[in-house]
Amino acid sequence: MAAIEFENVRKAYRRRFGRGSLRDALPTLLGKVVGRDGKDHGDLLWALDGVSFEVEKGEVLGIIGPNGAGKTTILKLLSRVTRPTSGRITVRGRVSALIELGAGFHPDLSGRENIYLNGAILGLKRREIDEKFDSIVAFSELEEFIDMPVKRYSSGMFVRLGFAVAVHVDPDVLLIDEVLAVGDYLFRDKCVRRIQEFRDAGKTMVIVSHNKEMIQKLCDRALFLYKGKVMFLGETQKALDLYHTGFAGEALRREMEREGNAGREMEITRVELLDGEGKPRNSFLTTEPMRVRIHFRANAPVDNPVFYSRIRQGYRILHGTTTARFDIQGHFEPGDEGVAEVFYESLNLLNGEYNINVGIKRDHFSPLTYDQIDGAVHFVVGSRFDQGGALVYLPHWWEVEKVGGKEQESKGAGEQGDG
Amino acid sequence: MIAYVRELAAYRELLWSWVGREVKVRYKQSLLGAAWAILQPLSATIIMALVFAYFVRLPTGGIPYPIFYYSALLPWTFTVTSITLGTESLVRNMHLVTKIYFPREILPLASVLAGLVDLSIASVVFVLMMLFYRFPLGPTFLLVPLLLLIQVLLTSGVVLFSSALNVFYRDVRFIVPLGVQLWMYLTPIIYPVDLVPDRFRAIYMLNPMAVLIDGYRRAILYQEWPDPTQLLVATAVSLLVFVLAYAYFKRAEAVFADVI
Repeated sequence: MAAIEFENVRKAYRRRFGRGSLRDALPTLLGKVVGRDGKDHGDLLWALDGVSFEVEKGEVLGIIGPNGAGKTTILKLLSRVTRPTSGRITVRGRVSALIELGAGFHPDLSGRENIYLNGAILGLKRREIDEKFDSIVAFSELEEFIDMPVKRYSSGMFVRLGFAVAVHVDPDVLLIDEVLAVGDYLFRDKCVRRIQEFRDAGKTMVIVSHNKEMIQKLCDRALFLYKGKVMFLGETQKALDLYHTGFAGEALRREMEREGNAGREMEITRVELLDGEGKPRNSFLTTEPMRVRIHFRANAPVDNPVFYSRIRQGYRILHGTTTARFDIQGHFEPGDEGVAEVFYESLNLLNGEYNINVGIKRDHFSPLTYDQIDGAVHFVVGSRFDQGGALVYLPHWWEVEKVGGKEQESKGAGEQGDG
Repeated sequence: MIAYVRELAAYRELLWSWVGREVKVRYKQSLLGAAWAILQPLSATIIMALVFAYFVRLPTGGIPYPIFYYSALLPWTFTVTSITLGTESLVRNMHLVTKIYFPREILPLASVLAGLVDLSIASVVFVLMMLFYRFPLGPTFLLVPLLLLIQVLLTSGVVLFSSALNVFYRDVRFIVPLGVQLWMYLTPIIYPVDLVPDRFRAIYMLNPMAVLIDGYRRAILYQEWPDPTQLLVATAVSLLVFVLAYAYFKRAEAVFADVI
């Protein structure tokens, strides 16, 4: 029997309800009295629209999708914080959610008192907490601060204590929502290891994360959710690829289009990103081709302008190139329009979000520009787990073999990249 | 209803932890700590005693006014504090309500139970007063736990209702103090029940709080048994309030996380 069954679940939120005051509610109430429906169906927001899936016992399901896709709503439904508008949800076994770490902490109480309180909120019995107390404290690494009110804790300490309590709940079904986005690296590794232990122990898990590597590493299957609907359910890598080629960039798609820069001798009117087939796209897989197309117009006679394009992550430039490097020259008269295009044969960047600066300079070495747009287009890249971690994809592979000595043991093909 | 109670029972440890938290938090970081539970009603008693024993001279049937007043103020304060803190309990903890599942009635009920702790602290003063005025305790005192039980039931009902309503309409927090004040004047706290004209007495006693407060006074100070019919009606009304409020609460609970 499946541990989790989600059958045609729909969940609507009323857009205007809440912020409750009687004054806002009166028109609705009056509407009911007068005989009108009182419900404004146009005002419903469907967070989930007919979602069905099953998770087998011991299986780890990842849920991916852009913000607002309904990922968190699924977790809230699974943890019974909220209830479906229609459809059926069955969860077998004790559920625990690593959703908001330390949500139950009270700032005036000490770490010790909060462990008991939070443990109780997560469904632990007092006796169980007594037994696990030392282990919880050890996991949090907060031995010295355990009798201090948590309001004096740093945010990192807060999260550590929250996670320590949460992972000591011994659930059958564990829900994890983007909890590892905070905390320092060492602690995060510890948490990932802990989650892996849960997995190895045969716990059923549902993980929501924007961290692709976590999804790749931990999930047996993935569900790709988009605007409350299931786009794909199946093999993790395939779900991630679909997400990254088809949808992740949608939120970023913002073709640069400008008007009214006629005062410049040359102006950029539009910037777009294209895939290998010339279709506009803002998300790519590592090693896919990518093109940056710059539309421009001349408003004065210009000789040999230099077009540049720079790929950045945040403000750090990762790659820059100009037409001067290719000895491209030209003359433009007022009213001339044109297109300058960079062709990247293979985008050797790994998982991440990037943006591009473009501009037109007077010459290669001059800091003076005719026009420039910083962060003109944004795009995301998705990579395979075995392509490595960090920033740049350098094609590579690993080999491990036993040499000589009898006690030496092969550890097998380890993780690739730096993980 | 039985299913609700069963689930609540499964979460009883959380209820106790939450009561503990409410009590601790209430007096942490206040200079006098739990002494406030005593000081608040005590100072009110001194003021009222001055006004009503010396200026107004209410007939109390030979009972010194301070102890006459305190015997009613003590249980009444419990109800008022529970309602005031309980009404806000869900909204105040919305970060929990929207993130983690547990039977939500734990929050308002914990406010009521934490109020019981205050009540027992403040009772110490009452015991001292009893000793000071040399009031003996009679067999009627045995009725006090029953009265308290009914009062807890009634108070819980009101708090369940007001806390749930407060999730939807924040106006509730403004209405509650008004309602509480009105309720106080309709209950024999500062005055004896004998002052209520006879023709209104029957209606007046439909207020279960009036029966309870009058009952405490009779049982402890006058050593009289209360009118059984009145007590029965008060019990029935309290039970009804509780059951209806609880049913409403559980129905509303489904959408708390969505609207809070």
